Amino acid sequence: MFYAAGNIYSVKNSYNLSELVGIKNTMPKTSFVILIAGLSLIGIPPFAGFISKFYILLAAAEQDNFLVIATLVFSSLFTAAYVMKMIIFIYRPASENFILHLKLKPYFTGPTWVRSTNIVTSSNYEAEKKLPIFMIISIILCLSGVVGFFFIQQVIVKFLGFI
Amino acid sequence: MFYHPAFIILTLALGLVATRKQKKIFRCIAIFMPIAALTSTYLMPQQIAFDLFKTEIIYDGSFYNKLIGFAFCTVLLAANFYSIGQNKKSELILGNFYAASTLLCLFAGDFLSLFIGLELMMLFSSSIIFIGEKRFSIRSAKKYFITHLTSSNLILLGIISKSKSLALVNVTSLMSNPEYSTIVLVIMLVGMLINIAASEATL
Repeated sequence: MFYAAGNIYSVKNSYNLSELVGIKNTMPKTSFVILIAGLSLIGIPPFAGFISKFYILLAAAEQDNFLVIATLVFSSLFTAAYVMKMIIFIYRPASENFILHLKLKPYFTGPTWVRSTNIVTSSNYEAEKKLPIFMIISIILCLSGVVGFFFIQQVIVKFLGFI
Repeated sequence: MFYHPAFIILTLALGLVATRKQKKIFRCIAIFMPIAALTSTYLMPQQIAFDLFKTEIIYDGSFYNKLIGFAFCTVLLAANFYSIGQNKKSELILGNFYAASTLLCLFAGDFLSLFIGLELMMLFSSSIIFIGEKRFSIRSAKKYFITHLTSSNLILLGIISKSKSLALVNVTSLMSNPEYSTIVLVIMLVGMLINIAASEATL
């Protein structure tokens, strides 16, 4: 999430959510990373957020701590409310006025009518920043950790047991 | 696990994503998928239980579950034919993911798979509403997502707070069991009713 937010900031130079509209067309990979991270924060299975939420809930239930259970459930709802707001801004279809403000690549040789239509693809517009290879590797590691946390945690537990 | 229709649909739906630009293969997979799911529903044993890293996952392939599964796969086949005719590829892919999560929920023999199935259903059905790309559809998808999340969290609260185990128990036996408090059962019931109402509204 931080990587993606940083990437957006370095391209857009803005903290405003309202300026995220149209990002899905110009920065599809970054938008996808935000989507996965957001779903994990909410606690949707099979992402890492769900596994941690589930184990905390089981532990709280064993101690009959109803307050912790209720807090976790309600916090997941509140998280959903604010994460959904961000995801909706990212995946909302851009209006024609907004598309006119998008910056075409300097070497774009396509027809000029593209400016007045809804055809906005990452190949026509400049946006997705090229990241250094080590940063890409770390993002892939983070993503695989979020998606396959259930299997990774078993490996970690076995490794810790071995130590 | 290998006979489970949900896993077959999930795998083939990933194949649909990969072959999205190849028209013929895409159509073949879309038609073959429900037929494969129908066959696997027929071949599915009465009960499948396997241990996934100390978590016991149980699937119940009883006669009535299979009957509903057959009906669902037939509807899926018809829906896939319609989507191919309308050339709605995104809807077809998301619809098949939704079908897989529904079958996961249908054959669930434990609370964990039931809950995962419910959450995945919520995710994919919201996505189907969301890709309408109209401002109204986005607002509807948000409302649907929050409603479904509330209900599934209420069910999770009920499952975890009193049962402390993930085995699927008959609701009627839960009511007669003095260990379970009425408040928790009412919370679970409310969650299930909201879930049913939201799913009914989608249909």
